[in-house]
Amino acid sequence: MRKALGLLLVVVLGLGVFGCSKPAGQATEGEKPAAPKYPEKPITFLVPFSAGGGSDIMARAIAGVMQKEGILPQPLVVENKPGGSGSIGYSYVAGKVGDPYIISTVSSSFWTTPLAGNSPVSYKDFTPVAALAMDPFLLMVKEDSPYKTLDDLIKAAKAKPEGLAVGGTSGLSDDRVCTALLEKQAGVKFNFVPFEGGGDAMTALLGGHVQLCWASPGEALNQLEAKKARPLAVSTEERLAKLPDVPTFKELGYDQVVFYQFRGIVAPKNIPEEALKVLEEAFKKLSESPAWEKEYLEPNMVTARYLPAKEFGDAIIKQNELYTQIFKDLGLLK
Amino acid sequence: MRRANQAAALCLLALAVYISVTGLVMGYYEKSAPGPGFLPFWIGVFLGLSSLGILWESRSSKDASLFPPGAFRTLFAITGAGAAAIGLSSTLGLLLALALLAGFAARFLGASWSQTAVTAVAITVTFYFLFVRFLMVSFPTGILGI
Amino acid sequence: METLRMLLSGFSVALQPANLLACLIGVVAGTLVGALPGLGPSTGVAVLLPLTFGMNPVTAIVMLAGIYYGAMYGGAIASILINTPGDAAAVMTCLDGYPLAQKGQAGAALGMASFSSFIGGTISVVIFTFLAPALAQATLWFGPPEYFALMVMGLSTVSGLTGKSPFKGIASMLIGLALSCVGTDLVTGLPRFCFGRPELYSGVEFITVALGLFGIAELISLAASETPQLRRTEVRLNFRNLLPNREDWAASWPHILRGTGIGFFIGMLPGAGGTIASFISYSAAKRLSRHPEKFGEGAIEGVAAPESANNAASVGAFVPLLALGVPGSATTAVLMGALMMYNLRPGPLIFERNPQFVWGLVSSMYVGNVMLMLLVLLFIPLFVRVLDIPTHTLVGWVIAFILAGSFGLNNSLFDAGMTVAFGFLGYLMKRLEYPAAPLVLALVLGNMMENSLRQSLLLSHGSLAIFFTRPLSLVILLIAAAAVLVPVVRSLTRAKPALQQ
Repeated sequence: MRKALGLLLVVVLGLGVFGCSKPAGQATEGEKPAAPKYPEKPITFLVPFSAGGGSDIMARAIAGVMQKEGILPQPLVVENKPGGSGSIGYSYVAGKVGDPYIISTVSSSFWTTPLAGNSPVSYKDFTPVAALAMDPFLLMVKEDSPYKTLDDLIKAAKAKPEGLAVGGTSGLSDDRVCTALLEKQAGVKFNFVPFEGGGDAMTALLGGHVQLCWASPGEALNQLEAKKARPLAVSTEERLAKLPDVPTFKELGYDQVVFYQFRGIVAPKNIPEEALKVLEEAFKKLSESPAWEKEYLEPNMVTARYLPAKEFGDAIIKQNELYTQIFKDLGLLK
Repeated sequence: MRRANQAAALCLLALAVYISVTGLVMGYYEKSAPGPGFLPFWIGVFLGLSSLGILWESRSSKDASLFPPGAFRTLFAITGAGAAAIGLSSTLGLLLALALLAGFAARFLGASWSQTAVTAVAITVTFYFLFVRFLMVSFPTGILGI
Repeated sequence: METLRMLLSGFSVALQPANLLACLIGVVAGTLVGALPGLGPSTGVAVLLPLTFGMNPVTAIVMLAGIYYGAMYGGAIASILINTPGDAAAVMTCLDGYPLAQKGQAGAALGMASFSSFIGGTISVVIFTFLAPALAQATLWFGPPEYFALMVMGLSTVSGLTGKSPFKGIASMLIGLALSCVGTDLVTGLPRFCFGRPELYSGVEFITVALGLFGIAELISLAASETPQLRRTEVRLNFRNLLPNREDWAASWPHILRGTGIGFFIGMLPGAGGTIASFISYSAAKRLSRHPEKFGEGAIEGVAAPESANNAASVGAFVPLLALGVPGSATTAVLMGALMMYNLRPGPLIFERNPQFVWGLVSSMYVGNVMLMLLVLLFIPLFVRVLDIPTHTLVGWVIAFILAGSFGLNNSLFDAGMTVAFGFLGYLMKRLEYPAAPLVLALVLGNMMENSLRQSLLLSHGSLAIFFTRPLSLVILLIAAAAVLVPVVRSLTRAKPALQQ
């Protein structure tokens, strides 16, 4: 009797609970239903990295704000599919051609992983939806470093080629790009030492094992306030509001060293035009809402930069050219 | 015993050669530091040496079998069923595939049909609540919707 | 005194009902994800994170921290009962915990795991209370050369784990090292040994391998009925005979204290963490024990040493997180994300700016450790019932749990498939007498060893002198050399009198 009941329970549960949520992400290509209003069911928000990383924090903040402000009639459901430096998650999303019920976050790996030959899909396999934010990079030295300004540093670097060690994240990364941009324009050569993560590079700087490292504004402010390390310059066009005393590379004469990590949203290729419009509009509203400012941009020290679909698409192509060029110059790509 | 040991050692030797050669292809040394192939190359070398050591050791070992009777049958049944469950989970859904796997394992090891059924059903229910609902692990779903 | 005053005010925060409840939820959830094969604290933290939105930041972090150190208690349960590591840091607990369970002493093993976790955790919180900022400075002495030396020291402990044939032990270690090379190369960013599978780009996950080599291989042994059916203690379980007895304590004390020291220290170093700490603590215990031959056959010290170390490490990991603002592990990175979400920026200043938060969190760790110990002790009689389940049903349940956990770690069927494959390999290794421990040890250490070697040589422009001219790295390398050579010398000197007789 018990067993029969148990079995019944499973069947009922199975049909009841899963039956409703099943079709998520299964809309087929080319099928034109009688124009129901998009979105009519929850949208999967896929994060190609593990929970707790930068992309995940952004995705969860977006889902939260969208829900709270009632921007979309349906919730965004965050799902992590980490692995392969993003390629697993991105391949999964790219495979859902035409399905507007799945979107994904964009960060540097969106470009760098395919370039390294580590991904079967690239930016060409996605529909850009919107850019939301950008992370600039700051060049840091230890508090007691003899280099007070970028000039001091460049002079020292010229005197001793490859004598100064720069800590950064892995071989094909934004840190590497920033280093290369500065090296190229200043005519110097640093000794780039890759670390497992930004935190490890910062620890190596604080311990005096490397002389320089790259940091995000949040990390930089942390260490600056604690008087452990100080930024020499930042890779933005204009000075950061939170760090008004830090000059930009551009104003110091290195106008090529302007570089950000874009954070944005993409969908699979060939999604219906109306759906793209709805999504674009939703992210525009999000970027204008005070809750977004308060719950994501401010605590994470991220600079807002909203771009609509079209412009984001252009920015994606430009960014890809930039990465390709730099990695080629470095001899990292064949 | 001796046969099995020698076969294993020869497999290791082949693996060692493969790792070393691949290491050399990847690049043994770069400008001032070891390249991506440095460690693999040396792993291969030492693995090769230790496999020769194992071969040498196995000369003197006794000839009794290390594998009890029926061991291979069990080994292939369990791992085969595990692999099958994973293969089937895209059509059946992971939840059902795991329930079937557990049921198969129980039955294979002598459970009665009713015990087998209880195991499979109990696993479906427990895993559904524990993993899918509570821990929010997104199990692949299959044709039945679960 | 100032510290004590702050700590007391911290307790007034930690003992508020809401925070007590948060702590309880955290440690229970932590024990659960810890005990489930594969899933570890990072899964637990990620799952409960959304629940904490809208909570007071202190309450939220108390709960999340509870998951982290709670998982260290939970991990031991599955290791001891079914030889399946609950999470990565519990692998070493299998080596002696499971043999103890087979001898009918599962209760004592679980009790000792819980007590040594409690002692390790509590002593570490005390150290943290008084020394955190100073110790944070000390972690900065560790640059790439020191990490390399530390990893070499870790690998040198393999010489104590080899079993009958040293060649087989070394081969096992080398296979582990080779597996650690799989994935995207840190320095060049290019894939190695990936065979075009994107799933392999981020490397072979250690716990995926351990679940197969230990868990599934053991299930196959059980199924082929080579291992005798596990039995619950013949004596009816009551509270007294699951407590470790006086001899157990006498044997374990020094190892618990040493494990705590090793664990806290290694836990503080970014990137190292509880897994490496438990390995080193176990090997040190075996090396320094008066009867190393009992290790691996069910020595209670073999449970006490790694368990005290992994708990101490989970507390130690808070040192760099709070005092430097640098997360030392995947889980503390998630915690750091959570802190940022609440506008609490970790770093040296957090002690001055948010004393309520810091001391509330520290005090909650004292409370949480007491809760965990009581919780686990209370439930031991229940846990031990697992061993009453008939083999056929047990094998069915455990294999399903292992595959679900292996899948859940990265939502990857590929990982689950890999666990099955390593189960196959693990069984063959077991029958052919290749020890599994060196393989997993090397897999954990290999990546960091290779990266720190290459980083060091980049820093020194190729000169090996960097390892010998820095005092700290030299000392660690000498200890490693001693760890390999001393037993050899000792066995030679011991062999002599035997010859004379």
